[in-house]
Amino acid sequence: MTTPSLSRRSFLRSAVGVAVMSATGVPTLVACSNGSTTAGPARASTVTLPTYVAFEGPKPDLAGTADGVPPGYLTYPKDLVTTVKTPPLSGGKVSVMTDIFDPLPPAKDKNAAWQAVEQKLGGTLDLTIVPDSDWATKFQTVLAANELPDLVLLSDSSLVNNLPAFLSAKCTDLTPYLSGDKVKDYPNLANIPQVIWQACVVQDKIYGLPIPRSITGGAGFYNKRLFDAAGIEYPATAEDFLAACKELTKPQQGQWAIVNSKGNTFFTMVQQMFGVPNGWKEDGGKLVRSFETPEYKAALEFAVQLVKAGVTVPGSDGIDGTARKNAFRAGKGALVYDGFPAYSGYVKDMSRLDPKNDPRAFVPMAPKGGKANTWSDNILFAYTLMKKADEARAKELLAVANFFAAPFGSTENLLLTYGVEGVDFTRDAKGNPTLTSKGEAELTVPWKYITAPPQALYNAQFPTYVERAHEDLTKLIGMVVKDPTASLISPTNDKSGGDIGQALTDVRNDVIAGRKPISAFDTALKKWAKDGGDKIRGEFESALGGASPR
Amino acid sequence: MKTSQRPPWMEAPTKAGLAIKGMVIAIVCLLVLYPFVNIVATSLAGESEITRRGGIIALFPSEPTLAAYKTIFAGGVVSHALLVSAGITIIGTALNLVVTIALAYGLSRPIVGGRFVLTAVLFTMLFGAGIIPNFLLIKALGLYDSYASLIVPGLVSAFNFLVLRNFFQNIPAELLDSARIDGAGDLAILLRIVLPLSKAVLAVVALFYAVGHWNAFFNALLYLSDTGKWPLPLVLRLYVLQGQPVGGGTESPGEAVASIQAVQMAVVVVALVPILCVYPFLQRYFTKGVLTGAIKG
Repeated sequence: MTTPSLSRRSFLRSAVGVAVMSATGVPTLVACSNGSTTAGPARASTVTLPTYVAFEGPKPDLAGTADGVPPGYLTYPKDLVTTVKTPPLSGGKVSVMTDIFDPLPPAKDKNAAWQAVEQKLGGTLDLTIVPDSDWATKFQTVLAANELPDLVLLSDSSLVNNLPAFLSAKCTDLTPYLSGDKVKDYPNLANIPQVIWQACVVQDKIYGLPIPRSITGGAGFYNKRLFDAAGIEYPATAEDFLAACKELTKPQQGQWAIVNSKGNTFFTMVQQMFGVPNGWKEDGGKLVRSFETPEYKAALEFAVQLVKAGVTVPGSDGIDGTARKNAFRAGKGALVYDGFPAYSGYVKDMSRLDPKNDPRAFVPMAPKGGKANTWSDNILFAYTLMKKADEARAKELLAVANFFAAPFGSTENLLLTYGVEGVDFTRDAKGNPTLTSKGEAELTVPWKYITAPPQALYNAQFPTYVERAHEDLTKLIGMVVKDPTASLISPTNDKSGGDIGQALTDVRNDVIAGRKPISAFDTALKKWAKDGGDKIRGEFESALGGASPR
Repeated sequence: MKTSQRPPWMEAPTKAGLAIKGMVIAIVCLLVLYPFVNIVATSLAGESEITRRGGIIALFPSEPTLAAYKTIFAGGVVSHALLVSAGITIIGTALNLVVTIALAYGLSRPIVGGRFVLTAVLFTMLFGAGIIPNFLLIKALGLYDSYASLIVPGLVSAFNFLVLRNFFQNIPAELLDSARIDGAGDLAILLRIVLPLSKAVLAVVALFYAVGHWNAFFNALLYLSDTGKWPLPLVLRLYVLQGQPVGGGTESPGEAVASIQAVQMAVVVVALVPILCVYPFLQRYFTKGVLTGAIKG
């Protein structure tokens, strides 16, 4: 496999980056890290994160935690709380640009839910909806033309060259409005845990309004039906896992143990089993990249072993995400890597195909004497930025954000999720709302990508899913390791980290597929370090030590 | 064996030769048609069958269903976008033709300043302005978020203009002179003499323009913010996106009961069929028109 050295995206990025900097009057700085590694303890962030004030709403059946385990509800709560008493706008307009993954909703004049939301907002919600696949093009054009809307999603921070300069020139620093107890003016924003706010900080300032997720993306799924049919217990160690995989593989029945897909997605499960660090590992101010660790080497050897044993679905290392899902749904494989948010979809789809199907979250097990982990790779979907605004306007826009962050159990959240009662949804005998076909079409308006409340687990159709997901997330979040560079910036990483990382990943994939010996990976690793890996490390280390990276 | 008087290519074809040619043509046709059949068959298949058979249905679904089409047309968004696209295609193509014909006819005869205008038009063929300057221009002209932003920027395509101009230049000047002696003005000559003689090339140019408008995607993405104005390709694009993994996982599994593949294939059918229906009517002009440009250029 080869990678084009200049992708369309990176080409656009460099072209637009220059345009942005000249448009905003920021001098085009040369990345000025000298790579000197002044080791030191991690710098304590100077920003005071927003005080966490939990929402006092309907009592959940399963309690949430401050670490980010979401509360669980087995039926839809009846005693909803209204969190926004006065409309945030007084007849004005708020323009928002955000992402969409669903089919397009009907336009505002034909959309009862959209009209009801505007009524509650007390003004016009002017949404520019951009298909996710074309986000980069539209975002960079709007950015370069200096036509930012009031609120804009930053779905991928690498789309902006020199992010800190862009933020300070074009976006509102929210720290004065949200830091510490100030956030209490916006109770729904105060209900967002600090671990999530931490991910909205760039260079010690709060710029982002978060769209929270479940902290970790998990380690994939397994189909318990296939384990039971083969008479296998859930393996306790990596060695047991290998044995179980061999037993689950029955080619004559069209069944294998692991569904792979393009880029060897199953390797994520293996890495977490072997406790490979999340991105980087920090030790006394020194950073080690995940793939430089002995854990990674062991995981790689294990993955090669799995592929050699023939326990992955043949040919699945070339299939895409949809085909991977289909193969797991159809029972071609008993294990698959996919993000935790896919859980409820699997439960629903697979029970429709065969009621005996039993998809469960895969909790990684360590090799003997090792320690498995999970990664905090799904803290946020992304965050939303506010265009530079004066104090009055900033407060107004924060009140709008506060509205969209209304938590599960509030009347606003019911409206944002299910629309207008009688039009968009009806209730079943237990009071659980169900979308009508009109509601299904109307509720794809992507306001869930403006700001959002912390997640809650609720599924009226499959209440057992709520209990399981809660239990699984408690386990997975308990094993989570952070990426020490998560809120740091390395200009070299932004610029070429993706390309040199891809070159290494290509070699890794060749090794897993058995096309190259493991020694080829060591060579590629040296090349990575030489091509910029060491420079990235230096930049992150100096950021970690407290010196400004630019 | 008797040697023929005629050269080999005028010989009556042998049976074997005919059979081989027939087979080759049949195989090529099948190669072209097979993906189309796949697409239609998959768009009509149910979820369980698609999951079982791994994504693509080869020829016939065992239990055909219209679920995918129902999903697409539910909510009225796609049918509205169809209307928008049809409107843009019809109005846009008409305006394209009026302007391109006027320009091509004007520059097909020697006139004062013609050379400069010609160079200016050809210049746009070689140098595009780029995304961001275009965006700023559209914004400054007040065209942002209007249907006009999909029509005005591409009003004249330099390529189509050249095809037309070359054709017009090859109409004998004597014909036009005799019309002039009979008292016809420039407009009458254009409408009564030149255009009726140019039906073939006009059909080609109209088809080029129409396909361009029907497929309008990129400009619509950049210049339209109100989703109520979105043309078909942009709306259909979102169905193709569904179910793709995002970051830590599937961002939105969607509520549709129809399988994602079925919906995606149905999208292809919906986008393809209207333009496919127009093509046969224009085809006899089409080959003629393209050849005209090729030889007489």
